Amino acid sequence: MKDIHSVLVEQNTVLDEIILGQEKIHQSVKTKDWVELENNMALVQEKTLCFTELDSVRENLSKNIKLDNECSKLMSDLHAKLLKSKINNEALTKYISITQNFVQGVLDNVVPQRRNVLYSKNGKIIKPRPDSIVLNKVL
Amino acid sequence: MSTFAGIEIGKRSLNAHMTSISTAGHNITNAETEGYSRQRVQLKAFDPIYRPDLTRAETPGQIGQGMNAESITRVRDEMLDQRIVAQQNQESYWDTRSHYYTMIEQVYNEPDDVSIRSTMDKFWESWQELSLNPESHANRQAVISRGESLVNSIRNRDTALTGIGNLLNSDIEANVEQLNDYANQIAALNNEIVRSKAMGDNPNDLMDRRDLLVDKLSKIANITTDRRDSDEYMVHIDGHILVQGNLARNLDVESVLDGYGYSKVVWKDTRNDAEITGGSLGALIELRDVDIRNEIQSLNTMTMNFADLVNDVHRNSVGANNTTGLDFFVQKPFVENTNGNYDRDGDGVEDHSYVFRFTGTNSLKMQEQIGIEGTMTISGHAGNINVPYYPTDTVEAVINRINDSDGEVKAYLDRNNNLVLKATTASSMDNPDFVIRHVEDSGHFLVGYAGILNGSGAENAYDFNQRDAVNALRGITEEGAESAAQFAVSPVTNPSTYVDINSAIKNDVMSVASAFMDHSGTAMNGDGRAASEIAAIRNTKVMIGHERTLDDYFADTVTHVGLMGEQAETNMLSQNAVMDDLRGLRDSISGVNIDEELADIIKFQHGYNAAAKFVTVIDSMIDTVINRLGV
Repeated sequence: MKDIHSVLVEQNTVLDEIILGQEKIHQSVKTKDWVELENNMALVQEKTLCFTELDSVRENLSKNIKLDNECSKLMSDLHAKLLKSKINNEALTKYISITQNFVQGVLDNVVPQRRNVLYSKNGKIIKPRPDSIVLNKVL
Repeated sequence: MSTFAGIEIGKRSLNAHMTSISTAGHNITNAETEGYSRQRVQLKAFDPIYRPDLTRAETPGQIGQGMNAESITRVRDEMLDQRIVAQQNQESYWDTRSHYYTMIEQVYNEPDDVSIRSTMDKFWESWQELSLNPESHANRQAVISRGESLVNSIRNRDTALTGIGNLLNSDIEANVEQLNDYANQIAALNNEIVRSKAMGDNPNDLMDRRDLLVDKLSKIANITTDRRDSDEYMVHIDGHILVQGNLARNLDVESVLDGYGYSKVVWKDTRNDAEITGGSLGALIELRDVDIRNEIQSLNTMTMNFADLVNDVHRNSVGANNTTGLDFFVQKPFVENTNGNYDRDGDGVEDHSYVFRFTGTNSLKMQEQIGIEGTMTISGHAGNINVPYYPTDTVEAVINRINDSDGEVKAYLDRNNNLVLKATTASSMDNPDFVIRHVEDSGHFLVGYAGILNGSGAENAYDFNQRDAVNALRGITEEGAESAAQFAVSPVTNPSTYVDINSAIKNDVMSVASAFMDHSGTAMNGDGRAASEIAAIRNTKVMIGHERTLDDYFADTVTHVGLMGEQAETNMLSQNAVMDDLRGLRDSISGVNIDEELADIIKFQHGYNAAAKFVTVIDSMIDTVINRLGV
């Protein structure tokens, strides 16, 4: 049976690996290395599951006990790292959405899509099919 | 076809090639010019002869008439420009935040011997030592010296944070001036461009200059541009027009009366507040009004809380010279008026009451059920909030409910188990920090039970929007009242700047209290209980409303600043990557390639030489006709 101190230490280690994995994901998105991206995402997913399991163990163990100074410090570190992971996620999401908006802007200019709602003569909503685009270049 | 038509064709070719060479030369000269877009001459074949009508000559046609330079256009992708303008403000926003958070981190990374944390640790240790030797003069002196080091380190941090705030304020003013300058220049250029276009020209260099100014403007604030009307180029900021054709609106800075003496950004013509988001200006305003303000408020709250807790014990304990009732730490009051009356609107008439804390007259028991019900109304983040209480609630439950609410008033029981209500920092910049704004009770908890207010209901409420509001407190206006609620005038803005050791204690070291009074009203020799209790504050959860000790507060503060710095840096690097991609794309389209221009020059040079040769041939042919035919 693990004690809370060892669980917290293990959680901190796993979280460090998750943060490292997030940085690699960010890098692979910037360099457009999709194979590396897939690998890193699988790794981060695995570590996240591990972290979740450890967290439920920690929660059970810490239900009726008061944390000592060392464990309190480990909890604070854990909290700080979780915030850092959240910040990394937000930065990557912003980068992706900016790039997505740019590509969408290009497509809108090249093949403008109608966004307004269309109605048939009977009053039913018609969803216009988006025009298909053929790219004559291998990326 | 005329005899001299050939020369005319040659002349047109010479002109067109000369224009092309000049343009290529212009591109090369401006290769390193910021914001320059390469230009291309659009050559078009001249209209041929003959037109298909009945008057045409009976010769095979159509005969070409050479070419001319139709226009000179710049190679620019407008869609890319729009995307860059839309995104650039994010890059400068995070860049500004990263830069300032580096400064803020330096404030918190102070050397260990002068840091607040270490001076506070030594302060607690001095009380601990005094509790072991309560008769010692030297230990008392050490308490005072370490207390002075502590208040100095608090003041130093406050000075450093306020200094950053002042720097931000100056930067905001400079950015506003810069923004106005760019807007005025863009409006002037719009005027020239429209006139030039009306003459049928393409004012490429003027448009480049305008695009460069828009680029620079987009770094300062989040702007959008509108080119749908070619005669009226528009720039919008925060949904308002900044530039419309040749008209530019300007921003201004206006001093704010309350607060730290900073200025707010307004529109110069309407004097309405300008909401600037994004860009360096948006970042500076947010850093000053949110980040630095929160750091200073957090420091002030810690200072006020910890000083209050020390004073609470010290006031009720006895010094070696039998002095009692002294606060250890003192504050500079907001106003000298004992009722806290203050002239807020500056018209010469006192119109508000600035009171920080009330203490009730009755001693309460934490676990006692109150047996009464009602609703308290206290000032909150946005307006007043209601905190109900029920007969089965204990005093502790009611206190916790007040502290867990969104109210800007916190509650606790002091050493004598009297209920204390005190004000926190205000989340809105329109309200002052550490001032109780409204306290009301529909029932009797704050009235007869705790002994704070004189009566229930709205008519007996305490409200700071009037002078002498303290008359609503229990016993204040009653002559011969057995006891009256106590109150303390609010400290001056930024109490961390003025916190100090009581001069009465500094002047007489033996006034430092270490003992509690016994039943005879004096202190026993060797009694260090008060000193011990003060030393124990170190491990008490002192941050009211959060379960945190002072150590937790310090750790959290440093972590928070570190994380904000990291967030700014991560986002800045991310935005840099995006903008580098976009700018690289723009340079590949609009940038000048010297090799390409030189190759073009050689091409046009050959074209020019060939045209000159053509003119020479036509000239010799005409010479033959004129001088040798029929002679």
